[in-house]
Amino acid sequence: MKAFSNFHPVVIFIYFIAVFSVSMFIQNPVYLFISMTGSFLFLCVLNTIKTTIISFLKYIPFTVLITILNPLFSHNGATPLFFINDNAFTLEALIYGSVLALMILCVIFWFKCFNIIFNSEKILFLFGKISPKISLIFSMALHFIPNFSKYFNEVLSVQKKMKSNSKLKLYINCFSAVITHSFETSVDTADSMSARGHSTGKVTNFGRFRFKTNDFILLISIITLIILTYIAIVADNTKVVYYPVIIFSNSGISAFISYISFAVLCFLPGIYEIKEDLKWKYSISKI
Amino acid sequence: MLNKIIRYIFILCAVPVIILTGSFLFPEKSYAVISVLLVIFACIPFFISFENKKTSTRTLVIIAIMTALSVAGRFIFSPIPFFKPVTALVIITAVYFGSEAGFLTGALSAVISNFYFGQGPWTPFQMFAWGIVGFIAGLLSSQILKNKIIMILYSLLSGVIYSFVMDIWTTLWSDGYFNLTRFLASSVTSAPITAIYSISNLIFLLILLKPIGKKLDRFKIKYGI
Amino acid sequence: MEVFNIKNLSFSYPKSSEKALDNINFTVEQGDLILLCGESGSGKSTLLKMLKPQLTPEGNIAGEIIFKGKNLKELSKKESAEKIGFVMQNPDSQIVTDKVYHELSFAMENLAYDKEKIRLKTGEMASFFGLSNVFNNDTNNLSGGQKQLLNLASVLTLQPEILILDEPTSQIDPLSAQNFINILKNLNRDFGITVIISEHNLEEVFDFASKVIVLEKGKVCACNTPDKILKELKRNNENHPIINALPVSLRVYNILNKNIDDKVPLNIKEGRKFLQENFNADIKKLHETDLIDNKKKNAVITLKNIYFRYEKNGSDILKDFNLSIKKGEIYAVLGANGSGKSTAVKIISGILKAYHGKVKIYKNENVMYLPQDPLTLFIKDKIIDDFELSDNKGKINETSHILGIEHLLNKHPYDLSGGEIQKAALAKLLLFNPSVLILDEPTKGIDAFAKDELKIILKNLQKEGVTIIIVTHDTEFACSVSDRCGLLFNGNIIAENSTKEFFGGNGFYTTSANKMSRGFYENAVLFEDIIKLCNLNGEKNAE
Repeated sequence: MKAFSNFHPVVIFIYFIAVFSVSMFIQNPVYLFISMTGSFLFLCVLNTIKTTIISFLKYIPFTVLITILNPLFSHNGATPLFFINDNAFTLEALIYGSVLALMILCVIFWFKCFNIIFNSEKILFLFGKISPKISLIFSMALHFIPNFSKYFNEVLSVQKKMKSNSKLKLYINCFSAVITHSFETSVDTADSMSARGHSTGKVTNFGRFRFKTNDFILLISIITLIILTYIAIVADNTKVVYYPVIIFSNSGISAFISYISFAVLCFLPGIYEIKEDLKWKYSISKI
Repeated sequence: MLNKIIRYIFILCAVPVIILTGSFLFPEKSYAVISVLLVIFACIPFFISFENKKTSTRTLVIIAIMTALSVAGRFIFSPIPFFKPVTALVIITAVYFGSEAGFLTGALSAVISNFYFGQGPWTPFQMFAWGIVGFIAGLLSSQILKNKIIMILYSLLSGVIYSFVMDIWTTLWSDGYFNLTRFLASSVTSAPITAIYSISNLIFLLILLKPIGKKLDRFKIKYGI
Repeated sequence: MEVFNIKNLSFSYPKSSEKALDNINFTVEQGDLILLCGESGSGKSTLLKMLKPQLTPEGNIAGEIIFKGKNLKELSKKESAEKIGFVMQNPDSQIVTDKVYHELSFAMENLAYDKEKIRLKTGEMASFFGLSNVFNNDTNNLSGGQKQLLNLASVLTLQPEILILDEPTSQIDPLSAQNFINILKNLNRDFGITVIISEHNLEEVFDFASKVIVLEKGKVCACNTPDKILKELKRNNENHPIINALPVSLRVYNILNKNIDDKVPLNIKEGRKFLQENFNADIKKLHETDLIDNKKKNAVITLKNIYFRYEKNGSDILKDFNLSIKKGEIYAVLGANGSGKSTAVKIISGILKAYHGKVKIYKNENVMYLPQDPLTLFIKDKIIDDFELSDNKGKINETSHILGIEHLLNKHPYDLSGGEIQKAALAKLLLFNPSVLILDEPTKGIDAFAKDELKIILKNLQKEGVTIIIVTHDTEFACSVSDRCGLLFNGNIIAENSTKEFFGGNGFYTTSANKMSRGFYENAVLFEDIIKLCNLNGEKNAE
């Protein structure tokens, strides 16, 4: 499972940027619909279909709210449906609201995938090269957090039996004990870093990720697809204007290519996961 | 020094100015993305200046610890609603270790805690919001330490700064452009929560500022930094 | 070839008139394994830190440290980081990063090794130390023993010429400690790495050392090969306290041997031979006079059919666990790592709740729990402030006096030694007038002297009627202090008996004294038992 996360972090990161750049920038419902289904499929493969549908249903009230709120705040548009306090509630604003809601939903769903695929280790690898000092702090903090939480729970369980305080006071006292503990042990940590040559000068950044042929193929595919997608966008062939009246330009073959390319891009990880899954099941069945 | 101040002012002002004017001039375009990018770019100078500054190993460890404490604090205090020590710890780091360290602790606390609570397009805004709270605290460090009134005012203000940045985000996020009505509406609706957060910041700061200072002093004396 | 030559080294901490180290002289040859011992506070750690420039504390230094013909101060930062490896006591606090492979590569990254070399070395180290299957894991999820191995491995990636270890096994369980020491011996024997190690528990390393150095109040009071060190110690002081910390074979030899020039038994095998060659074994067993009739006593705590697990879908840590503690006894719970010992006592003390089964604590019994990390009992910056949080302020002076910690009251909890903090924690609990005390690993990280003190304290508490439950890995301590022992395995107590029978009967889970005397005497589980039996039986050929 999660075969997609085995790609090189740089490639995965570029993939997400490519998808986000369209899903967040371009207010064309066709792209957004493609993007939404793509992220939905990907999330189904990463989690289960059931949990994905449940989380989708949870967002329905939110999307409805955004859709309805927009015409309340924005009174542009040529087709008023009705008036509230002399302000027009327009059809255009309502449609724009629904597109906006779809866009937000897309971003949320892609971020759900991103959170599963792109763990802290990958972030660290990505930024370690650019900023070794900050990425070290990052890594150390990740190591400390569970330690501190664990120490807090130990202190809390012991202190609870000692004397009854108000909950807030008890928590703050125990948290203060965690602070003391962390400062005191930090001396060892700093010493162990110095002992192993920290801050002696130049450093290298080692990550266990290697750039493989597969990564190269994926990278080239992503770049090709996103360029094909953007050709029509830049040429305004897929432009949608919402105010004052809705104009949907869908001219020619370039728009068609753009939609297809973007669809391939969005469905890529989901299909890849399914393919790897089948491959695995097939190889198991042969044994 | 003057150079540095100009740079800071530029960074502090440029961001809101760009977002606001951009939103007013082109009200029908998607500013959410632009603002996300802007916020990311706004963080970079702070990171660069920290990266280039010489930091001792021990200070580095303490900054990592403060970051970890503020993230762990979000978990630890989860049974007590609204009381989270993040902002207070960011301010304290800034007060004792300078603006850059404060910004870094704030920004990193946001990214790292979102690994547990979920990343989203709001992450850069949270990074910036907590970062800037820390950054300003660093500039005011001596006043915050010496003058209790300034400390109280700043800890209350920090909640306002945080929710101001986040309200800009909410507005852009749901509208796609800067809709003043909606901004005011969301500021008003979030006002009670902002107030509670500000008070919790104040409480944590009152309780933690001096003791952490004492703990750091002990650390310094014992290990001769 | 000399690796280290230490000449007239003295050191004092800033603002302190006392010398932490006083005129120290010794040399370390290539391939040596030097064992450094001494009481807590004798200056072991300080001395070791002087040998690693990055860790040298602030203060006044006099004298010289020559590293391979060069003054240590003249070494570049990079050289001293690379050539001198240092492993500290606490496995947790030394770890810096979040992933095992990152921790392994950390040192090499700092010294800008090229990536291919890093890849090779991290893989090599992970295989050698058995860390391959956790290579991509979070460092937090390792066991204490694994963490310490990781720390050692990470230091070794730089291929140091000398390894300095400051009580590396004191915080890990005995089995992991044994494994750690075996790896160390292997590194020394097969790879020729010079080692300087300080240790509390001398049983495992003693006979392997090329040289033993004993520190006392910052001075070297003996420095010799393992077979001659006893003689040298005794020349200075017939009852030198460090003798009680020596391996059991040496302690037996020390008491029983009249002729000091005989060959000294350095380990259990030699100790057994020493007994067999020199003593009769007509009386096999000590006459048991002090067996308390436990059956008549009332139970104060009973646990029936306890089941416990940490996660809903996890496996049971305790399965059908039953236990009954009698009034006024000292009961020791033994068992391997992860057998559920700590879990069991946490359930008794009410910190954890069993999902099935019954915990019965008889009325009027006040149960207090001393956790594995006694520091968790202290939330203030001074010991006295924490004591004053209790309801029983009037008792502070009396309790502190009984435990001998009056001089520590104004100190910061983190400034105390392992033995001191243990006593302070005990004092804090005593302020709550407990009738049942539960101690989780009370001997972790404390030296032989502190253990003896603790033993006396617990025995005195028992006389006052306090019931005591101890969870421990330390068979020697359990054996010397407890009345009954239970062995936990796979979630329940599989063996329970009076201490003598318990250790005498066990095959492998027993004390060094029993290992040494088995087959020769029966149920001689303590060092004192062997002495008694030997004296009863008399020497061979004693014409």
